[in-house]
Formats: sequence, structure tokens, C-alpha cells
Amino acid sequence: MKKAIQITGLKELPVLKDITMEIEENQFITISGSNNSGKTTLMRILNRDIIVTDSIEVEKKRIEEYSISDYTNLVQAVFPMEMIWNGETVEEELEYAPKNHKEEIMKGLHIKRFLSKEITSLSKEETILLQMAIALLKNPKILLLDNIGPYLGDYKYKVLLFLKKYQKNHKITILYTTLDLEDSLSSDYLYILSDGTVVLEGNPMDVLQQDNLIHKIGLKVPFMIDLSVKLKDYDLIERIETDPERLVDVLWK
Amino acid sequence: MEITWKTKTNQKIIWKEEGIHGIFILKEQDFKNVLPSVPMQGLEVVKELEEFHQNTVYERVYQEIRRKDLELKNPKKRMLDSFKIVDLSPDIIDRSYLQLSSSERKKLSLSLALLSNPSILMIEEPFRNLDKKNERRLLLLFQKMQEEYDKTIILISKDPNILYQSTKNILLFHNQKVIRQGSTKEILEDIEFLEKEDYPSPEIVQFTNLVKTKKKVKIDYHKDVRDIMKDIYKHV
Repeated sequence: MKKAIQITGLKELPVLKDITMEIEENQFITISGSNNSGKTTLMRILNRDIIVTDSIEVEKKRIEEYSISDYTNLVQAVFPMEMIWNGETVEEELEYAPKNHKEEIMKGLHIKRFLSKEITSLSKEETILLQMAIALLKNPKILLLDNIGPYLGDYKYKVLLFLKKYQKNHKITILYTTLDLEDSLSSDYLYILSDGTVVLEGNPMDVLQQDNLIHKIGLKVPFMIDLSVKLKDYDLIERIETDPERLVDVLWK
Repeated sequence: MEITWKTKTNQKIIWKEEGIHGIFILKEQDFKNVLPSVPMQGLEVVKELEEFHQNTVYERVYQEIRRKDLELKNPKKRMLDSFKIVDLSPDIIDRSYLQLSSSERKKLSLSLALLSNPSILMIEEPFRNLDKKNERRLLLLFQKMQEEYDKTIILISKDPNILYQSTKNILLFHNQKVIRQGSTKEILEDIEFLEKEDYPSPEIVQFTNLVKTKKKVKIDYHKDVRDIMKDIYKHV
């Protein structure tokens, strides 16, 4: 598989100590880690808000060699509540954006229900959804989503499912940072950062079974996995169960 | 201490019990609706710290003192006292918004509220953007503020897991009115009631309830996954 992003020995002191990642094309990647582990700094670097040299290749070209417009066409990012708006209403705002896959994005991100609202009266949840819609309408090959989960409320899982489907259908790469490891369950690959380095990586289900290390880092293991791992350690079950009904049936046959 | 207020939607709320209180809401607009209809003496609402454009924390704190029209003999001392209550290092005063960590931002928003020396703090989504370690530290801080500084702490959240772990008394507020008020344990373990009102229940309670109803196994409700694990071990 082709690499979308290659990061080698990235340092951005004092936060990032040594990051190496090989991110394949058309994947949904979750990056987790405790507060101050370096997630947002990494996203800022990949969005070129912080300039580094020699450590990162995006689509086989060094990040610093791209022109601003070429890089903006390739990579879009959403950082919560950071947006300069052009229009007064959501509808007006969307008029300024390109129209790639517009219907699909509007539906998947539930934009239509607040289309006529004024930008200044949007809730946090609506603001993030609109930010995401505008980023996707620009048809990027790589989308960076930094810690948007806590602001999506009840829409979080619906939005994650939509993003996963959209990402596969349109062959884009998504990097999604979160504190909530439950969000990683539908992703293709999970990285966990601690103190500026990658401490765990791999298939999310395999990584999440490292419960002792995850607790030590200061993260919360999703409840069903946490319970399953402990039950497995006591030989009460043979494999990790994420479905409560199934777990209960396995325990009391 | 008894607390009473009338919400923006004209609902009267009375709290007589001690301990950390929780308000469980379903929709974001209820964050606003549940607040007092008029500013209340001694009550401060703590929201997520918005990005500030002053160069330093020090300037942001002074802007807050001016905004609230606080007549302080020694503003710097009040600032440092409020930092001390929330365990915030005075070293941050020269930093900008972007130079603060998530937990420092959370503590700064609390210390801005403490400048007026309120007796009641209503805190919106207290643990949003905090990892488990910082969540635990902040909860201990709320307990300290309540026990040592005699503050009443009210957490407003949409997350039943957080409210189950952190509060003693709870109030369910939905569609602009109070649905139920009482012991957190009693209400959040009443799955039938929560389902009827479209409220989610804590994951650990859901699982315990599933074991009780589906397999008729008498395990107890626990807050910690290690305790439920021990109970399962005894009953399998």
C-alpha cells in the first residue's frame, strides 16, 4: 500500500520527543494520548501551522516543499472553534465553499437542520459540523480532525460512521485525534502517544487490550474492553467481547 | 446550606443536601435553560475557557476583574488566592492562551470564577477535554473546594458515567423542566425510569442490569470495573 504520510524521528521540543509513523493511504487513523502527549502539536505540524523540516513526507514529497495552495488542496484540517467565516448564515457560508459531493456531505453531517441559522447563533456541535462540511467540500486527500469528538454530542457516533464510509468511498485518509478510546474501535489503525512519543500502535482491538499501560498513561479503556480483558485474565472468557449481551451469554451459558 | 434558584424557564430548584451535586441534561440548550433567570449573588457559572486575545493570563485575569466590576483592595492577592484553591501554579501568569495545557485552561476558568469569592459554582461539562488522570485530580479538587473552602459544587453534564462517578445528588432537567431530583445512585440505577424519559444510563449500570434481568444473577451495582469483576467471579 502507498504511504499518505511518513514521519521519521519528528521532534518539536518541548512537546514532541521522537515521533515515527507510516500512515497508509485511504485509512482512518486514530491518534490518542493523554493531555499534553503531543496530539495537537502533531496535527498543527501536519497542517503546517508549525513548520518543521526533514522529518515529514506527505504523498512522497517533503512537507516543506509544497506551495501553500498545493498543500491546501491536498490537506484540510478542523480544529474546534477556529474558523473565519465569510457568510452570515450557514447557507451563505456554504455558497462560498466548493460543491464536491455536496448532497452526501450535507446529509451525512446533518447540516440541513440548521441551514438557515445565523453563524453567530450556532451551537458548538453545529459549528464543528459546519467546519467539517466545509473541509470535506474542498475534496482533500487527507483530512485532519483534532479533538472534535467532545463537541459532537449525540451526533458523534453517527458522524464517525459517516466519515468512515465517506473515507472509504472517496479514498481519502483521515487522521482523528481523541482522548476517548471508544472512538478508535471503528478505525483502521490506532496510535497512542505519551510524553511526545508513540508508545502503542496497531489494530485498535489489539492495542486496547494493553489495559495496564493505557491506564498508566492516564487514558480510559472502553468499559466493555476493560471488563473483558479482566475477565480473560481470570480465565472466565476466552476472547474479548464488545457486545454486552454476548458477554453475558458467554459468562452464564 | 440550602440552595434555591428559579431557572430561565421558571422552574424552582431547591437543594438541601450536602455533597457534590449534578444536573443531568440531554440537550445543549438546557445548559442555558437550567441557569438562574437573574444573576444570583454568590453564584458563578464556569464555562469552558474561550480563547483570549490578551497577551498573558495576568491580563486576562485583570480583564475579568474589570468586567465583573470587582472592588478588590489587592487584586493580585485575590488572583493568587484563587490560583491556590485550584492548584494552579502562579508561573502561568506570563503565558498566553495557546501556551496553556487543557488542565491549566480548565483550572484557569475555575479561578476566574473564584475571583468574586462565590459560594456556589455551577460547572458546565467539568471534565471535557481532560484525560482520566486529570479528571481524577479535578474531582479531588472539587471535593477539597467543597470540604475546605465551603463551596457548593454543581456539575452540569450530558454524560451519565461522569455524574454517576462524581456526584451524590442529581437533578434531571429536560425540555425546560425538572424531571426528577434525588440521590444519584437511586436515580441512575433506575434504568426503567431513565429509558422511559429517553435518558442514557451509565455503562456499568447497564451491564449490571443486563446480568440481573437476563440471567437472574444477583450482583450489586458498582462504580468501579474491578469491583463488578470480583462480583462476577463470585457468581459465575
